[in-house]
Amino acid sequence: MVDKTELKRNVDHIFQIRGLKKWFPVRRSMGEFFRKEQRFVKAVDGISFDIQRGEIFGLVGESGCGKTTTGKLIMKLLDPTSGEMVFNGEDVTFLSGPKQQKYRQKVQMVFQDPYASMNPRFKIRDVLEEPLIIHKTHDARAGRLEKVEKALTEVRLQPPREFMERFPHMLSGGQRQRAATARSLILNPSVIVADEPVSMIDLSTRAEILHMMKEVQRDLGLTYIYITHDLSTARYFTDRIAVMYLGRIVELGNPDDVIDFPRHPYTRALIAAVCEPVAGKVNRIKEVPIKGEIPSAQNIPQGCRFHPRCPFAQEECWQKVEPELEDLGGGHLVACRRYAQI
Amino acid sequence: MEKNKEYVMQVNNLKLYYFTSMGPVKALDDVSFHLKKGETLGLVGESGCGKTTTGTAILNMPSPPGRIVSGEIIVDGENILTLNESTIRKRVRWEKISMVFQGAMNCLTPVYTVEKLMLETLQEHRKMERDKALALISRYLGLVGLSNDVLKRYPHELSGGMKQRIVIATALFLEPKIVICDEPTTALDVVVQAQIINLLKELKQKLDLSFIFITHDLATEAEVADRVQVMYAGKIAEIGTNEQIYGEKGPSHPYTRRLLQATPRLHQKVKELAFIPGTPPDLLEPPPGCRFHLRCDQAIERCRMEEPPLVEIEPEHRVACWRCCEW
Repeated sequence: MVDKTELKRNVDHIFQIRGLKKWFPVRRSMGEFFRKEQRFVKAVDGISFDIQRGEIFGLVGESGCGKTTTGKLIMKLLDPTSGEMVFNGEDVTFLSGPKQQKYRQKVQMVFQDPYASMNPRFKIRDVLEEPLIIHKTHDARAGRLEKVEKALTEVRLQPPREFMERFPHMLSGGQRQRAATARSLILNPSVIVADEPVSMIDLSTRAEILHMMKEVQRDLGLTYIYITHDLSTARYFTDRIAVMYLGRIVELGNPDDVIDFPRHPYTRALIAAVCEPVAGKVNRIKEVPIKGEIPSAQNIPQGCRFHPRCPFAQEECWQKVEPELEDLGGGHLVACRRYAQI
Repeated sequence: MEKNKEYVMQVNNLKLYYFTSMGPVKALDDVSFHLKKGETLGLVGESGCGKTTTGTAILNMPSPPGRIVSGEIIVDGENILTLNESTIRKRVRWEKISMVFQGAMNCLTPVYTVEKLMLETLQEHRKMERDKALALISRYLGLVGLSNDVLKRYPHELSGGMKQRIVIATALFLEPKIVICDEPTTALDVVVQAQIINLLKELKQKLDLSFIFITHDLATEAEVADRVQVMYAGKIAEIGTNEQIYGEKGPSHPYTRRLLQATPRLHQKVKELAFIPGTPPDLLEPPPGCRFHLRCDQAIERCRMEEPPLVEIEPEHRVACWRCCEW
């Protein structure tokens, strides 16, 4: 068990997460019901990390690795099965009522799909005003609209007054994602969880949006949690990267270390699989040092959960207990028993 | 028109407009290109540039309200745009040209087993006994790296990579010469994406196919395309070999250059990623002159007035830019 007083002392860390788990129960068959068995999808299976104030923390992994569930746990859209979450020195593992509302004001989210995350019948003004109404921050409408204007200026939707009167369909993908970012800023949060914010945006404007988000982060001193499957943008955008596999963090560190000197075999495979825009690769078959496909989160392999796909796995990898994250120095952590040999 | 035996397909002056209530949207405006035997031609560009429209036009099935206004598509010495619908069905679609549609792997009929799905396509085209048909199917499943176990399964029991392999096998078993792949790897994870790309490369060799590979991702295209065709606002901006586009020298059209700069590279740490300000033009009323001039930092007066033709600046390399030879 983690010592709570010790956790609370560290003020540099906006989030301290220890052993966080989210297991989703699977509907039982008749037999299982009588045998009183219950199977679970272990979407997030014991993750621990700290997020520093003012940093951009990247969660990277393939689909099904639990990165979005982690985002939802941090947003408090889901309650964890077990574990502990400390936000600004306060335990926020389980919240309800006004406390939860207060927390959500401080932690906001930008969603993946800017086409689906806005009510098509709302003008941008209404989209942005809604959080202010829900959280009852202003009594008068004029105050709210002033705030909306400020938020739109912050994300460089100029002139704000003109954009306030538009409907979402009148905006391009990039502009919508700017408006979505403005919506997440409007309650003066300290943390923004961005779940694949640029994956649906055209390549030519993708960098523009990331650039804008970075500027906003610097201007307002925000902390970002950037969830993505794309290592290339994560390298450019984040201060630290956590690579997730089947509900666990397998490697964590600053982007240069993780991408240029990956230590976990899974991270290596991911990096080998990324396409790069350089000539001369057409006639070569790419080698991806990984076997098969990601197993179901219902039957997690014994020992190191990566061992069935790992080209370096040896007996100790499935015989012994699961490896924990180990510090290699300089804040580069890896959860692999054999990282030194490979 | 010149006829070249090396070419499996030639597209000449193709125009396809979407006739909307607000007027015709010029989705493809005078597009000409060819496909050589055994090569992969990559179509890249942002959304709305006409790359998928090109794919559906080649099968002569533009999605409504689109219509091919003029131009010709020559396959085996015959202009398929002059054929009637039933002839195209019988002789062209899937027989000569097949397509892996974007997101097709998520559109497999959920209540059909893989066996039924594949048999239906096959028996629609070939009068074949069930046993023979199944033998053919299992041969193609083997080619795409699947075992016969998948035949009895339903789409929801399969992973994304397996479904994509099934869609590819279905596109292949009538032995077409040309396969159009529209964003076949976009919805997949990087590892699976690499596996599918490897598969397509192997198939190209084994079956002597020609591919048209449509994607918005310049990095994926670099891995697969022998020649790359960059499209912008319904026009071809640049066509060149893989080396001419991705090589040291860099591409020649300012749009390709900027797009390439905006593509993040994993092993190159940059302080600021470049981007192209603005958005592609409205194709209801394309701007006069070069369609890219509003977003181009190299634009001169001539770019605003006259439309640049697609000219050959070196063998295999054609560019539509007034200023392309100035740098």
